[in-house]
Amino acid sequence: MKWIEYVAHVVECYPDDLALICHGEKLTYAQLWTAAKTEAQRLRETEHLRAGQYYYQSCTQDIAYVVRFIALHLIGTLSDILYTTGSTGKPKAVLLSEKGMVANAENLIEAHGYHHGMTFVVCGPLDHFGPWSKMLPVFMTGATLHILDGLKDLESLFDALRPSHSATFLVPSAIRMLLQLNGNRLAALADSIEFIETGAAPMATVDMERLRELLPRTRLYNTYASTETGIVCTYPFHLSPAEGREGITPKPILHGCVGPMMKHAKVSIGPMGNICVSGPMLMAGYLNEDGEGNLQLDPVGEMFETADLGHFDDEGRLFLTGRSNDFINVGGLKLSPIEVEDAAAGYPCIEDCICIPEPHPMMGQVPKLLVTLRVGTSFNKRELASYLKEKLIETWKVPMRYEVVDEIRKMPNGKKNRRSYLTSCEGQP
Amino acid sequence: MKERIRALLEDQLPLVDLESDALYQELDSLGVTTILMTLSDEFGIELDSRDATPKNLRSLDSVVALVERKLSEKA
Repeated sequence: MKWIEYVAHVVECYPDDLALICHGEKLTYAQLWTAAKTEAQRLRETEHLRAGQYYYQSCTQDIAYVVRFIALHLIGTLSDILYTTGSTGKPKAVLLSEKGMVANAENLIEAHGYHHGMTFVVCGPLDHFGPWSKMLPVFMTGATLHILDGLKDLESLFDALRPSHSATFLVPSAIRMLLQLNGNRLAALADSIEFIETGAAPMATVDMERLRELLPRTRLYNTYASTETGIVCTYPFHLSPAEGREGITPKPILHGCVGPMMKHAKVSIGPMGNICVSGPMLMAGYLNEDGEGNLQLDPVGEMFETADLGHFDDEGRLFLTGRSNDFINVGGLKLSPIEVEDAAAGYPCIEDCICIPEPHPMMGQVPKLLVTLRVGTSFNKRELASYLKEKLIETWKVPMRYEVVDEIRKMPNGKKNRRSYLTSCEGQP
Repeated sequence: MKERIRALLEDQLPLVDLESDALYQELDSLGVTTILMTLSDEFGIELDSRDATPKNLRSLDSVVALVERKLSEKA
């Protein structure tokens, strides 16, 4: 059964129930369905879109985006494509199959308990896998999706979480932000928040404990997931303390069974310590351009080896210990340092540079740029930051810290010696 | 006071134009949080999301006014 068929069933069952809230607008399931059918018709007639064709949709974080998403599935979408950070600094196109969508939705429904009558609040961009994936179980179960445009206005978040049976996904840095500045406000919502899911970055044990204290009746989950792997496993940290360790346990969830204790193990540790994942929730593969600019699928195969390093403990719990590539984890968003260095290389006074992670109390890590200058030049930090913002577009990619150094350390083969700069950030994948 | 706050925020937020009269519009969630936490730590005042209004963060002058108000409430 396709995802859109589940949604059609929900529309039949709960036509007058609220499906979507965004910027003060509200749509019932019947209204959402009508709007999606109208949009599908427009796409067919004015843009001549047919099943199986590519359609590029930029994320607008509003009702129109969701309507178009459903419309595309009504037309006959075979797969969705999300762009994710590539290790070379160039984004990778990840193909998510129809089968994977349903598997991921079922994983979330079973593991976290999505249900008709609950409201899920999405704060992050809907073209990122975390927030995107939440649309799937919400509309499969007849729940309500409340879309927020980021966390700049925390009052909107508190208002959105005030109705009973509310739930949300927050990256660890957002949770820390709430705990540091608004712990009491969060505690006041203890009876309305049904569950909070986190993930995408390590969460400090002290934050887990604090959240448990403030929200004693709320289910709390730390999930291991990525665009490529889908939803793999989740750790219900409301049930037991994290025992002083930062990590996640492989609660056996449908399609995401993990560890040797399971009948059908879906996660293993590769020879180099990398976490390997298999199951129907995996991506179909990467889409790459051939020499003539046509997209072709590089299929994933049965098992996907992630860049995450991990191990199982004696109880079969999976712990993340780091990453085998050089990504900088900025509050759950993965940044390739090469992308920043390529952008900075064009700045007139910079002779050489390296982008490294620097610990940050809120974001976990932020990018820092070390530069060597051309002889006789100097640079202004704010001007360089503005230059990089123009090149990198997204603010979170722009380094917060800058330092002029005498040289950039290199390895014998001439490549930048990134590892030599990581001592202060060890343990922060 | 104003120059002290300017120096603090300039160091923390290299992308933000502190001369702007539309400061709030320039900030993202990290920027808002950074301002609240930096000022809380530096001046020993309590700031939370209710203080992060467009009015309070409209300009550097309004941020200074916010800090002065919190300091006087504390005194």
